[in-house]
Amino acid sequence: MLMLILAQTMEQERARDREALERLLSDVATGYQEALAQLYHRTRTAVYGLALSYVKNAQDAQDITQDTFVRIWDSAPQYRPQGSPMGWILTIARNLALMKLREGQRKGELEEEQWNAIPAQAPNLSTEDRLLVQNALATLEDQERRVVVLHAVTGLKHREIAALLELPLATVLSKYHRALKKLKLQLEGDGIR
Amino acid sequence: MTDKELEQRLEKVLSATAPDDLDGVLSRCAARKGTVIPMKRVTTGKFWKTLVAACLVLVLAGGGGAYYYQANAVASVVSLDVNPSIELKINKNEKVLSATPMNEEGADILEGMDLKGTQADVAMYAIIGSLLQHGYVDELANSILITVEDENTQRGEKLQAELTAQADAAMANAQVNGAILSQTLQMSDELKAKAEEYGISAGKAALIQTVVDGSHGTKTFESLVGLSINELNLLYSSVSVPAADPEESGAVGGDTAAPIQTTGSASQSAYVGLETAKQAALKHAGLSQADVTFLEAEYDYDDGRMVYEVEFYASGEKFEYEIDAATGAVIKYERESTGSSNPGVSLPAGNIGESAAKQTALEHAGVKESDTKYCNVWLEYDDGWPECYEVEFMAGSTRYEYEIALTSKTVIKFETKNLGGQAAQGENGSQAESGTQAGGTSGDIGAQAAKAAAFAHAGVSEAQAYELEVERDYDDGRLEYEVEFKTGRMEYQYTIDGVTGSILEYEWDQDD
Repeated sequence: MLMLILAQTMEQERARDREALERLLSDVATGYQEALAQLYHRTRTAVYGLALSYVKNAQDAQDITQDTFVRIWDSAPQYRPQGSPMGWILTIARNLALMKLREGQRKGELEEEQWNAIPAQAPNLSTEDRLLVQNALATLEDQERRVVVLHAVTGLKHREIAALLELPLATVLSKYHRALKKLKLQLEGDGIR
Repeated sequence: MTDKELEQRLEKVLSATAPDDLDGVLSRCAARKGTVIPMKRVTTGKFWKTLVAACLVLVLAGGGGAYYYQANAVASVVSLDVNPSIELKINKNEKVLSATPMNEEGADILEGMDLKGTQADVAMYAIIGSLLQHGYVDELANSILITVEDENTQRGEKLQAELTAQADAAMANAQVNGAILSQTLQMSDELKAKAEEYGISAGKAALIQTVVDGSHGTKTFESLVGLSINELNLLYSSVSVPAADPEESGAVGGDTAAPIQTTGSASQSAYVGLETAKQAALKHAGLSQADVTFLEAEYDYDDGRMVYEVEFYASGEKFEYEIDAATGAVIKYERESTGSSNPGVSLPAGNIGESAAKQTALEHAGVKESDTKYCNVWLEYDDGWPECYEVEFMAGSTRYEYEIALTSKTVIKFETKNLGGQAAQGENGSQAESGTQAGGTSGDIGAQAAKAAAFAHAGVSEAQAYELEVERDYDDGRLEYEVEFKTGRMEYQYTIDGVTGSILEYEWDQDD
């Protein structure tokens, strides 16, 4: 029973979030910068997380995050509510991330970049947390990392993540569960040592 | 650790490392013209000051008395658009009277430049230099639009040619591979109103209008307003070459918009390219280039992103793909299958044969086979059973698709699509009427009445609708009309009772 109520509350919360984002986007469309500021604070972690899961380095992910919000500002008048404002925002971020990756390829940076995404000097972050997450995420494959990061920071459902990444739902689910298993092994294993 | 705790921990770390540089974002967001910006964020001060200063220049120039009238009368107005947008007022001696930024980026470009009194071509060279320096023209977006408004077309075109040559030279000098769109026009009130409404230059409004006119009703002005000149240039190059009928090329743009001259080609560096898009579609379909016919790809803009529309035919099937222009990913695809026969199924006795089916369609369309292109006929199967003949052909700039009954020379359904410059729906309307005659039976209200019933219910006038399709159908032994059409962003589907004209079903959808 409690689980059911909890699930309902979460669902309501989600709907409220969605409405709030839709409202902010429509305000951004009218040229209201304060709305963009609010949108930024609500979604920057999600955008950054997504960008990071593609480009795997903090500097590029930061650039993409900024570009994404500039693009949102420019494109908001074209946005039509379709039930997933977060999906729309992240699609922009994903396109920019892919563009960045292609740019890298053109410049001949052909070597697969290593996951090195959590910068050493992050305020409000203990070294322990930083290292744990850096090392734990490093054990994942690209797609596993993408799925788990998106689920953790965007509030998107697996179905929406599948649509965003253009992957079958079953693939997303299996990657997610495998990723969680690996992460737990890594993090809890670390605790014992 | 539970899954949730694990995710929360991840979230915490990522949120601590995510950038928090709102000012950096806002500094790159231009104030949108024509919108109200709340007083508490006064970020547009510089812009308005520049604008006021520029207007003051105009006022002073205009107030100089009759003696100065000749020198200070505006002969031509030149607008330059990239994303920054700038307007130059030029007198008949081709001297600049004023240079006005039309948006905030335009103000950045003009900052510190005093162009008043300089020769127009020198001013153009300087402005292009500043555009390059500010990074607005680069490998990813290299298109600029030069528009000359002049009542004297000859003088305007001369100025257009001079300015284009200067812009070209400035870019060549900087070793930038630029693309220039240029046009000379006399401003209509309609364009002026649109430019004002969306806060863009009249020149950009004219370019958008040309693309809209060439899009066979699939684009609206509003949907394209946010695009850059480079994106518009790519779309323009797609619509200005009608896919199937090269003789029609003069018709694009209608008679209201001036012809647009182009030099260079729009940068496609931000996109995967037409060839890659074709390959992506072929790969997805599991086919090679040798397997397919009529392979075509063009730029389009859909759902807020640049896409490639790729189309081809293979073994009687038509494939339509939408490929993300930025990533090369398949966004949508449609495969129109003609199906195949169950083993051992034979055609019903008395089937009219392919050539009679073709003849029926051609007669209905009033077209001779010698006047058609790509005339194709094949048997359509449904669940392995032969259903009808399908006939497709192009005549002039119109594509016809027919379904002909197996055992009688009856048109079951047809669709026409105008791929040239003329309005598509007039064609559809009149054709739909003759469709009724061909398939008419007693107690049949006819396609015209069915269409009218749907429009009345939707509160839409026929003039507002496009991609209109009317299909006559039997469902559960009942005669029905399926009426589909689009307006702006809505898509309507109606099922109308073919005998009583009452609405049996309807669906409205956001067209996406």
